[in-house]
Order: sequence, then C-alpha cells, then structure tokens
Amino acid sequence: MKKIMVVDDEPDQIYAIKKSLEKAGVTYGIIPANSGAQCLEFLEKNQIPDLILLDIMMPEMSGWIVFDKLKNNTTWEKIPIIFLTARTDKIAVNAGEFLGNDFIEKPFDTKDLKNRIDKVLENTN
Amino acid sequence: MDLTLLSISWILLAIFIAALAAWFFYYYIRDKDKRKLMFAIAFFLASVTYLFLSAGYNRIQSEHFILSNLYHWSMLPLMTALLFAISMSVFKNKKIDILFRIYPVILIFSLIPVFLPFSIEEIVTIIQRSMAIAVLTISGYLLIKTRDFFSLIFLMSMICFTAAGISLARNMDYLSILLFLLSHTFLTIIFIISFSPTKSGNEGIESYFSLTDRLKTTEKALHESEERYKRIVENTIDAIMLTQPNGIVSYVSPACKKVLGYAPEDLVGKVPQIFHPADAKKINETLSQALDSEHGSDFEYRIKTKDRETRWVSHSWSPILKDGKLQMIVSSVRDITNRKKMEEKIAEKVKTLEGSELATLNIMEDLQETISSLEQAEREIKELNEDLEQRVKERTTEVENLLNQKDEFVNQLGHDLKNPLGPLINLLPLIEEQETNLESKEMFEVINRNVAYMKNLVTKTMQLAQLNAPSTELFVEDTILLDEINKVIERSKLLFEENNIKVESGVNKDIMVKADKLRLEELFDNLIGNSVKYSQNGGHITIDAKEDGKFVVVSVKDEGVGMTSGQLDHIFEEFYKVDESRHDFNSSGLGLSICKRIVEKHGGNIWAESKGKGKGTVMFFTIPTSNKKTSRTDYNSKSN
Repeated sequence: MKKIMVVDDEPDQIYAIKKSLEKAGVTYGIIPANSGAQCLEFLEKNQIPDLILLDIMMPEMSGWIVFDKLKNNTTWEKIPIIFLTARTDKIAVNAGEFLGNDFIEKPFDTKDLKNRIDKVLENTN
Repeated sequence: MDLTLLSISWILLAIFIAALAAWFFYYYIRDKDKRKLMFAIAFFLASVTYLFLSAGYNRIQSEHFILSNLYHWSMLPLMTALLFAISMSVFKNKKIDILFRIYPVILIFSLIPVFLPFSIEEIVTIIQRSMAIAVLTISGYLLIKTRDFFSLIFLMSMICFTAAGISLARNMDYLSILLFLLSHTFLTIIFIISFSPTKSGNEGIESYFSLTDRLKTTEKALHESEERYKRIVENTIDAIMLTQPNGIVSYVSPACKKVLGYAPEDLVGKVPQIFHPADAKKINETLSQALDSEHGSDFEYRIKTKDRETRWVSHSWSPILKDGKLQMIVSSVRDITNRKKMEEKIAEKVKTLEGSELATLNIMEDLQETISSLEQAEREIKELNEDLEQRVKERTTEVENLLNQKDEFVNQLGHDLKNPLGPLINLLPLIEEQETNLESKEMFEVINRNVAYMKNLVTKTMQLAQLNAPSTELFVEDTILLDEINKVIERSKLLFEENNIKVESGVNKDIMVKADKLRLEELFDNLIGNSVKYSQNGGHITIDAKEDGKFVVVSVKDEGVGMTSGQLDHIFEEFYKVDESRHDFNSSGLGLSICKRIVEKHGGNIWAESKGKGKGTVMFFTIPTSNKKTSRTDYNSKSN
C-alpha cells in the first residue's frame, strides 16, 4: 500500500484530507505530520512515504526549509512532493511547478487532489 | 601880313600851346578823362588867341567883328577851365562829368555873341578880369590852406597869366609872350609832376590835375574792389554790420532783414534795441568786456525781431583800430535759431536718456535686490527641499514598508481564511452524503452553497489584492494566444457541457502576445466564466482576436442576457453586480475588476459592448502584440 505523508500544522486539514481521500476511494495510507520537524523525525525513523503533501506556511519550520532538507538528503531527495498551500502568489505557484512535482491550492477539490496524486505517483514509478 | 619877329614869337607860342593841347588830347584819348579834353580844348583855343595876337589883334580895331570877337572870346575857355579846376579843388567836387557837360554848354553859349555884328570886347574883358580875380583869390586861399607845392605853382601860373594880360595891354608884347609861356609851362608842370608814379597826393589842386593812368587804375581797382566787397557783403547770408564806438549803426547789409527781422533803415543811424530782455544784461557785460580788449570775439544771444519773434543769433565782431583807438566795429550776425532748437531738443533727449538711465539703474538695483531675495528664497527652498526630500524618502520607505506589510497581511489573511475553509469544503459533502433526512439534506445544501461562495469571495479578494499590490510583477513572455485560450476551454469543458454552451474560437494560431501566461488564463477564465454564467438556455460563445498595430484586440462574445448602457458604465467596479436583487452565489462582484487590473498591468484596455438587455454582450480587451511569430500549425483551433 502506498503511503502519503501529509505535513500541515493544522490537524483539521490533515483529517479533512484523509477523510475526503478515503471517501474518494483511494487506498493510500496517510501519515500525518503536524510540523516540519515531525516530518523529518518520521523520515529519520525510516518511515519513507511514496509522496509528501507539504504545506508551505507553517510556524517554526516552513515548507521551504523542509523541502530544502529533503532535497539535500540522498535518501529522501527522490520522494515526490506536492505543495499544498493557501498561497496563490507567483512564488508559491512556481515552487510547485519547478521545485516540487505539483502544486495544489487550498481549499482544494477532492477530485482534483486525487487526480494530481495519482498522476505524480504514476510518473515516479 | 608882315612876318615880324614879334608875330613869329606869337606864332611859336601858339604852336607850342597847340602842341600842349594835342598832348592833352592824346591823354584824353588814352585815359578818357574829360578834364584832359577840357584843357586840350582850352589850350587849343588859347593857341588861337596867340595866333590872333601874332596878327596884331591887340592893337588893331578890326572891322571884321566876328574875327575880333573870336579873338576876345578865345581866351575865355581857358579861364573857365582854370576856374572850374580851382573851384573843384577847393570844394572837393567830384562831379567832373557834370562840370564837363556844363563846360561845352558855356563855350557854345558864350560863342553866340561872337557872331553878333558888334564888338564884345568890353564884356569879355570884364568877364575875363572877374574870372582872373576869382581864380587868383581862390588860388591864394588854397595855398594858404594847403601850403603845398602845387597850389604855389598854380598860383604862380595865374599870376603869370594876369601879368601877361597886363603886359599885353601895356603893349609889352615880348614880356607878355614870356609870361604866357611861363603860365602855360607852370600849368603843364602841374600835370607832369602829377604823372609821376611816386606821387599819390589827392589834396588840393593836385587832386584835379593828377590825371595819371595809374591813379585812374587805382581808383578803378578800388572801385571794383569796393563793388566786390559790397556784393559779398550784400549777398552773404549773415548780416554784416558796422557800428560806431558809441553804438550807432552806420551800415548794415540787406541780410539783416532775414537775420534780425529788421530792414537796414530800421537800424542805421540808431543804437539798436533788439536784444531779448532776458539776455540784455549778459550782452551788455560781454560787450563792455569785449570793447576793452583789442581783439574780436563772438557770443550768442537772443533777440526780438520787429514782429516780436524771439530768435537766437551768433554775433562775431572785430574792432577796427587806428592808432590804438577804436574807430569802428565790424560785426557778422547769423541766425542760429534752428541750431539752438536742435540743441535744446538734443539736450532734452539727453536729459530724458539720463532720466531713463537713472530709471534703469533703479530697476537694476531693484532687480539686484529681487535676485538677492530670490537667491535667499532659493537657498531656503533648497534646504526645505533637502528636508522634504529626506522626509519624502522617509515617507516612501514608510509607505513601502506599509505596502509590504499589507501584502504580507493580505497573504497571511488569505492563507488564514482559506485554511479553515478546506475542512469545511472537503468534509461537508461527506456528511451530506450520509444524511438521509431530507430537511437536513436541504440545510446541508444551503451550507455548502455559502461555503462555496465564501471560498470564491476569499479567492477573488486575494487575487485582486495581489494585482493591486505594487510589488506584484508580471512574468511577461512571448505567448501563443490560441494556446492559452485552448487551455482555458479545455479546463472548462465540463462547465460548457453542463450549461449546453458551444464555444468557438476564430483566433489565428499565429497571433503571439506579450503576456503573463497565468494571468492571461485567469483573464480568460473570468471572461468565459461570465459568458457562461449569463448565457441561459445554452448558446454560443465566440472568441476572436485580430492584430491592430502594437496590440491585439481580443473579444469574447456571448448570446446571453446583455446589459444596459447604465450597467456597462459600472461593470468594472469592485463588488458591482449586474443584478443586485439576485443573491448570486456564483458571483463575487470582483471578476471584471480582476480582469481590468490584469489588462491594465499588461498596458492594455478593457471594455464591454452590448446592444441591450437580452442581446448578448461582447467583452473586448487589448494586449501587447509580440514581435515573434509562431511556426506551429498543428493546433486545433476549434473546441466545444
């Protein structure tokens, strides 16, 4: 079973994503991480997901820093990342397009989210 | 007639005297001097007398009255000529011509009795003696008066004549001949001495006998010179004036009429009172000073003409002195009124100029002051400006900071608003699905609709805020217009199908624009979305574009509800809704404001046209064209 790590400082967001994806019929296991630090902690414990949904605007450690750490680690650098953010400015959009594998604007459409996830997973396999 | 020694002596005398007469006549011909002719006649007739005497007429009583009378008469012309000469010398009578005209008349009239048939001896004797006495007396008087040599000789000549006459009466013929010879000789001596070039006397008897050509020439030259000077004086434009030391004018040239405004006769013989009262004192002072000096001078003053007109004159004068004593003043007076007027005008002009120069100086001073105050003001303004610049800089920084803070705030707010919307949007439909109660289902629908509206509102507000932020920059690149349109059409396929809308694009695949791709998609999203929204019961949406110079004009045409002109004026205002009474959860009222900002950020224009309610709407916008041309040809330009 494919595992998707959702990194967001809002547990409600993670919950909503988990529930709506389940409802949409996906079989991926969701690893919730409530902060960037927790995300890295899970990774270090060898809980390596197939894809990370990464929020950008988080307190203490922003999505940019998490992204930077992932890309500078030979083990984690290949994990596909979809940015998930309420930001719609150019930087966020570009970050999704050029740095990560995709970008989804909050609040998202469940169908849209599922399609994008599927697409990225297909491409990385 | 017997030729005795006596008669021969008389004849010789007669010849000698006739010769003298001829000599006089020669000089008359040469000099045209009638006095010489007079003496020539007188001497000639005297020689006739001597011829008669050679015939012994002094002794015989001829029966021939005429000859006898002629003998007695023949000495009369000489006596008359001598009387005229002495008279003219004494009375300084210069009218020789008149005397000469009288002389022949006297001769002719005195000749008439000669031809009468009786003797005129007694009458002639009386006349001759009277004349002899007169001539002698006058000669004596002249000698006493002049005491000169000529008068003495003349008197001696007269004495000889008188003595000759007495001798003749006493029958002392030889003595008589001698005395006659002497008397004629004395007369001739006067003439001869008068010829001498060394003599130039003009006094006494000599004046009468000085009949030389030199004198005549000198007189003539003098006369001519006098005439010349007279002409010059009388024709010169200046008034020439001769004034006696006592101030009386003795001569003034005719020009004085023009120069002084007085006729010569108004001034001659008077002390002229023509000075202007204002200048009279000055003139008198100058005159008295000038008269004390031996040199001439000139000065200018005003006069009053006879017509009471004021004139300016320039008066040059020079004294004529004799033995250091002033004899006469020669003046030349010129009218300088015009010159003076000109000078006054010039002086006035100079004064005016000086005045204006002063005024200019004042203006310059004022200007200097103004410049100083301006410079001061400039300095102050500069300081103020520097201060202001500093303050503006500070303010700008402040504003920039505030704007950055605002951008940050809007982003943060958007993020913070959007985040809680996520669970709502994602979870509510899940619950709604599980709900079987119809009433609850209905309530979920209401909630869902409002949440969607809130999502739309937050998203659009965020977009507009970002577009309004000065820090927001476009990422402009050469873009194939049709590609972007097709992307949007592709994305909205489902929407078109749901609303039974057919979309047509007549856009040429070659058209390239300079645009921010994302913004351009956003723009088309909004415009096409609007067209769909307001097209009830299906219809066509036509997208077209044509190049127009530096811009491409893009149009999105629908067959929807259309708009009134009043609505057209407001559609680009923020939060404006065409139908406010309708609570439209699909419309935030920000879509066209966002479109307007996007187009303006690209340097273009946006506008809408509608023929009215129910007649559809066409949205137009312009976007800069790109110089690059696409080479792609494989794109499907039609979609539905």
